[in-house]
Amino acid sequence: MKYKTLKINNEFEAIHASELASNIAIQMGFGKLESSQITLAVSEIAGNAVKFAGKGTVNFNVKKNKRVLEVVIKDKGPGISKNNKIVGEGYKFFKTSLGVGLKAAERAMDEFFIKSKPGKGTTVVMRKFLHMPDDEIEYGVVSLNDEQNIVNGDSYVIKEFDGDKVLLSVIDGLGEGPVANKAANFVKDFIEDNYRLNLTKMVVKCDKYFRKQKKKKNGDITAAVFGLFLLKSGSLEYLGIGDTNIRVISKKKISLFSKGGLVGEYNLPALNVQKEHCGREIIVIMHTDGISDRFTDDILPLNQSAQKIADFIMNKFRREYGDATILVLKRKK
Amino acid sequence: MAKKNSSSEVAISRRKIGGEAPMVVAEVTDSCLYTGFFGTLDSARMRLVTEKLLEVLERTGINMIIIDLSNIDIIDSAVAAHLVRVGETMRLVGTEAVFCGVMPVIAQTMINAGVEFKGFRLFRDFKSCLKYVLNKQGLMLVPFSPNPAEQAQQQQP
Repeated sequence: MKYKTLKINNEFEAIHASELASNIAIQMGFGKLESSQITLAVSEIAGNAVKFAGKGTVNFNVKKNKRVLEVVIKDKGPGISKNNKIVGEGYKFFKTSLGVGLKAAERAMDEFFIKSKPGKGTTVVMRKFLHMPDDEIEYGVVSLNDEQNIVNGDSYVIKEFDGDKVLLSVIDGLGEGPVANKAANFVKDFIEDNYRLNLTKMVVKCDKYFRKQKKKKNGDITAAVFGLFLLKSGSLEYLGIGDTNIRVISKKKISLFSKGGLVGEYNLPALNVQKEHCGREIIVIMHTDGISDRFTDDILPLNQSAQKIADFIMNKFRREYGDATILVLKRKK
Repeated sequence: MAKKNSSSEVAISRRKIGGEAPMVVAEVTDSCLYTGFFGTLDSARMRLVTEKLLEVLERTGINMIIIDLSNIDIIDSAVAAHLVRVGETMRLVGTEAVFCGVMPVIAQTMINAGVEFKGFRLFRDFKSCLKYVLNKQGLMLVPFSPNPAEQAQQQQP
């Protein structure tokens, strides 16, 4: 879907661009909040272009089968130095709203890239992904901490991106209570920041990151086991390290396995990502070791919602001790 | 770029879309102001709003201001935090800022970002906000007598 390049020469036109962005977003199926976020991001960046460069251009690109809205805003202004980019939060709001605006736009969008050199102008590329509709895909999660612990040493990630992909992970931090919680959240944050990496790279990098953290002064971080599951339109990938479980229920028989080991301590095992083709209809169940894997597909309420399936498994198969996390994905079409 | 509609539409849309702060300011009583923001409150517009608010505060005798957020589509967390600071600035000057109309979606953004409206009164809607403000000023809304005869008597000198 092609839109003509919009030229913006003043504040009115910058705001008009933000309103146009909102219209495009709504047409694409974004909700009210999301289209408001897009309006805000375009308003901030287009406003900056006009303010600092006098003029600029705004391009709207609808990508990936109308599931991704990309906005590219360029100007040939003075550019932003690395230092300036960080400036702007807190009291400096009055001195320059540049940094605040950039951060606000970044928070409002799913992806945000900025290319700028002092004297060479600025290009900002931002994208927002359309969530996959509920009648197409749904998720169910239950994550509970062991009664003895104040915090949960388990964590999980559900990251939709590009309008048609989803990355799932269940994470179990090594240790008990706050120690495990810290490790699990460490991995969670890492995955959420690096969701585009291929699965092998993600594990290797995460491992390196753990070790780097340990070398720091307050680097009291342990390790973690986790599984990474990437679902695309017609295929899937899995890489699991340690005692982490996954089950796939679909027309085609698919068996996925995790490798023994630990991420963040000792050497990683050989990392082989399992890749399989799959149909659109698929149910994926991932869980940590707080849940027994002794359930067979036929006893599960598979025709109910993903959340009901997750609740069922948690109720019937939770082990006596330990943190427990169950994550269910159900893609219907 | 301006739509060639009736001139009044153009006038309104021009005012709405830039150059000026997206806000209305009105007097509720001699010592209380109402201000409502609308649309997208981005950082640039927040600066304009802040300038205008502080400008308006210089008017003597204002000791309360109602800040109505019900027409804001979206606010960024940093901008919201800044808004709270503006409220604190007002407090220093001796003006109590009272907020109303925080939409659930906006509230969620603020809570997730850790923005706190510590020490500020928050009301669901303008009506309840108004009651509080009038009360604070020692005023209250009193209905005319429901008895038509009495009402007729009252209306005669």
